[in-house]
Amino acid sequence: MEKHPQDSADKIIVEVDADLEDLIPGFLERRQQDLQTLKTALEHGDFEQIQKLAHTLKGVGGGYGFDAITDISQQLQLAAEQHAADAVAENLAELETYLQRVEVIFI
Amino acid sequence: MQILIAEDDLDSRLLLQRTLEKAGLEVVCAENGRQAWELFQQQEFRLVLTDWQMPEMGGLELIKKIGASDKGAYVYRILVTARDAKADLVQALDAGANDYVTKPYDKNELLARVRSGMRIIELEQDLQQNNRLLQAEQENSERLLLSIFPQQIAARLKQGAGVIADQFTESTVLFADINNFAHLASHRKPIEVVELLNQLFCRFDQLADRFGLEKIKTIGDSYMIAGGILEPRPDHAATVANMALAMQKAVIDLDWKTREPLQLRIGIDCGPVIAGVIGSARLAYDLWGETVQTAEQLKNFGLPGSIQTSAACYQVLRDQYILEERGEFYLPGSGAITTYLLTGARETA
Repeated sequence: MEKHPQDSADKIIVEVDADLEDLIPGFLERRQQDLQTLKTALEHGDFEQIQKLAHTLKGVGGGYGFDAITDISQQLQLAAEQHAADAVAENLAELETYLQRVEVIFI
Repeated sequence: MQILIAEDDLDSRLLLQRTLEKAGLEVVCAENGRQAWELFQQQEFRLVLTDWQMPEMGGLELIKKIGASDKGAYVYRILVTARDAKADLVQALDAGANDYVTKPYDKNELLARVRSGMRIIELEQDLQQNNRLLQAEQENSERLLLSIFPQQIAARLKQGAGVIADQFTESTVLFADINNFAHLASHRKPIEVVELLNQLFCRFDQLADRFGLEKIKTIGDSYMIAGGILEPRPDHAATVANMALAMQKAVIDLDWKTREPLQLRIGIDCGPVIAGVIGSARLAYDLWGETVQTAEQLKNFGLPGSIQTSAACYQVLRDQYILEERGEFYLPGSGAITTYLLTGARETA
């Protein structure tokens, strides 16, 4: 599976099951929305909401083949539990970069 | 077999649905536990996959509700959750989940767990089917038991009561047979003889039911019935007298297509009897004692078309029934007794 981005210029190729092809555009769109929701929540210091959403993302990311979303969300959930704003911000930045650079091929 | 999915997160739900449908499974989706519970009550589901945390009703509550529902068939419940602590797994299994899958899950593992659940369901279905067959068999044998024995005796036999032997001090025994039956039978085809007897004795069975009397048995063309056995009843003699009159009428009412009309000989005696079940093969509930013997002799030495009773019966019945003294007879086994012919009931003023 894919590695986390080391160089921000690179595209991240993710292989997704062709059975899920029609679901992917909606899936990625909702992750962008999640990102905005998470950012707003961080601004409000609403760690509980971050924790909840991160929990959901952790469960759903890897299932579609986006293992990085699961990994980042796990860190995010942990950071939110500890009310560690810096760590939350770091993980959100990582998620944002990932979503910008991810490119899907169907197998 | 339809599978019910309860999952509030859209993408998780779509993924689960797609994974199962691609594997050829039929899926119905609910967006939370409450919706799933409503669907569960309306439709037939044997396998449920549910998320843990959902608005309105969570997965654990859904699992518990399904477990406690009285729909009869077993429902296999898989919790699909991102909660991956051991304590969570223990809590879920203790709440009634059959399996526990953590998100994100491997597609093939999920499907293998679903297949495993379906095997359990199939086993349970086989078991249910066998139970149904067993129950049908049990009902059959119970019906058979009831067709052979009075209800009370059947119940006692089923409970495994040892020897069944009762004494009834006040009872009335009736024997009836068809006059000149052997001669009648010798001129007819077996099927005609059997049909004739069957028709007549079924009519007698109906009458016995109506009067609440116990049919004891038939011996050849002889039909035996008793009142006041099993449950004591003060009107045993009068009820048997009514039965005898109804039997005489039944014989006349049925058209036998015989040159001569069929005639019954009936004998009735009142007194104590012993009752019990005997035999190892073809068990039978039967009555014994002098009363039985006398009733049978009164029938044997009766007149065609008449009802012959003993003096004991006469004493009990004479106020309400018309009885004519026939005379003193010597009956084998019973000695010299005065007999009476019952011809009808007195008009009640």
